[in-house]
Amino acid sequence: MSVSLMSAAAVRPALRKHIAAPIASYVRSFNSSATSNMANPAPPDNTPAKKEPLYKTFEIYRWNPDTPAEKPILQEYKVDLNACGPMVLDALIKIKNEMDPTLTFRRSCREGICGSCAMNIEGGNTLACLARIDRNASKPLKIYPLPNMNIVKDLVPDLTNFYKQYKSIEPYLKQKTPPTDGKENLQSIEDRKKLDGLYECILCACCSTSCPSYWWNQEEYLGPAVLMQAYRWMADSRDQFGRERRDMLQNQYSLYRCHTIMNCAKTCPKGLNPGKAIAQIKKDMAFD
Amino acid sequence: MEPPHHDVKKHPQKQLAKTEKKDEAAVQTDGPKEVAKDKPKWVAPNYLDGSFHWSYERAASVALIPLISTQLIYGPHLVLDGLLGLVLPLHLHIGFEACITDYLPKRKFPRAHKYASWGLKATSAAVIWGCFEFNTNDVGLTEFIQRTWTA
Repeated sequence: MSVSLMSAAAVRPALRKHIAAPIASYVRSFNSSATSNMANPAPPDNTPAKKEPLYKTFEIYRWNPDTPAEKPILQEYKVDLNACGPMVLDALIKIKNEMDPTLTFRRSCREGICGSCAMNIEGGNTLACLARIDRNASKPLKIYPLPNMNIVKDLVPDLTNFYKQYKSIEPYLKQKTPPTDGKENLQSIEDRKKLDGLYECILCACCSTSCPSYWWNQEEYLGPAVLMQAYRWMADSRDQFGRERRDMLQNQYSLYRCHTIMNCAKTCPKGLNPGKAIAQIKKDMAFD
Repeated sequence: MEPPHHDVKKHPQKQLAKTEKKDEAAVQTDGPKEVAKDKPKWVAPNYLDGSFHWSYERAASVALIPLISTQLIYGPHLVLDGLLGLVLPLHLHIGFEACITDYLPKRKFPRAHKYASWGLKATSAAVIWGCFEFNTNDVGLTEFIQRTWTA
């Protein structure tokens, strides 16, 4: 490796002369702060200029289970956007740390992989950690919990039924004849590709709680998130219970309350398409 | 999208407390027993409400395309009128039935569900019979629409 690098440098000195300088400065921008400080020493006064505070109003849904008779309210908080991170979750954490420790919400990874901070922001279900704060301070930013769910407190919905539904589709590999050598379940590259766009779901419940059918019939309709996971196991070439999985959906409510409204695909913070997965299930069931 | 938010009545304060207690009890009981109880109940697949329903819903919608378009182009025809008088009411029946299952589910409104679905069945049957009578004893559906259009 080092030999080839050296020979390239030796063979084309002219090239190096013209291209090396701009490339070097370009590469430097990717370096860690330690090396770039060595290359260009920081100016003597290193304190950044202080920005004017930019106050934006956050209207956040509050409901306290200790006083269940009191109606839920929208509480206002003023947050200085210039002293806050760019995402809605940053603002929520700032409010909880600095203004009101009673504000309750779920959060964990702050990078869109855990699905804890799903809530209704500016009228759409999304993850607070992936939603940018609109810098327009003249408009308040409204935050509600996931719509049409029972509320535990403030922005925390009760997802018990959602998880129960997920459990009911048996989201794990089921086989009638396991591999004969008792070792691995092999899968071709094409078959693996069928799972792309399905396995990435983090079960944040944004899609299910954006679906009007799920609002009206969540006791019986499984909802887009769970149905997409059901299809994820039907589509898996290693699973041998596709027919049985589909037969579980052969009734009025579990699957067929989907009316292709497509709020699920519109709202998904991971950019997945549960509506398409449900359409695939319907198509497969029509030919069962 | 302006989703409806839950009202105070929906807060299941007591229910939540109850389920928590149940979970505590579940932790204390033996594992295997719990697994058996938690297993989803097997329900016999109901193809008539499931995929068959979906298939004939689509079939009715697709069948309406030639039934309506041929008469638009070639004018009224007795056989097509007869079919239209059957398929169109069926198509409407399926649509209204979906409204009832969505908005008046048996689970929440047992009586309203019963009245609505029987009312719908009676109405659809009457409409199909009426269309048949009109097609056989009068000018027929397409001719009627044509005359009303130009009247």
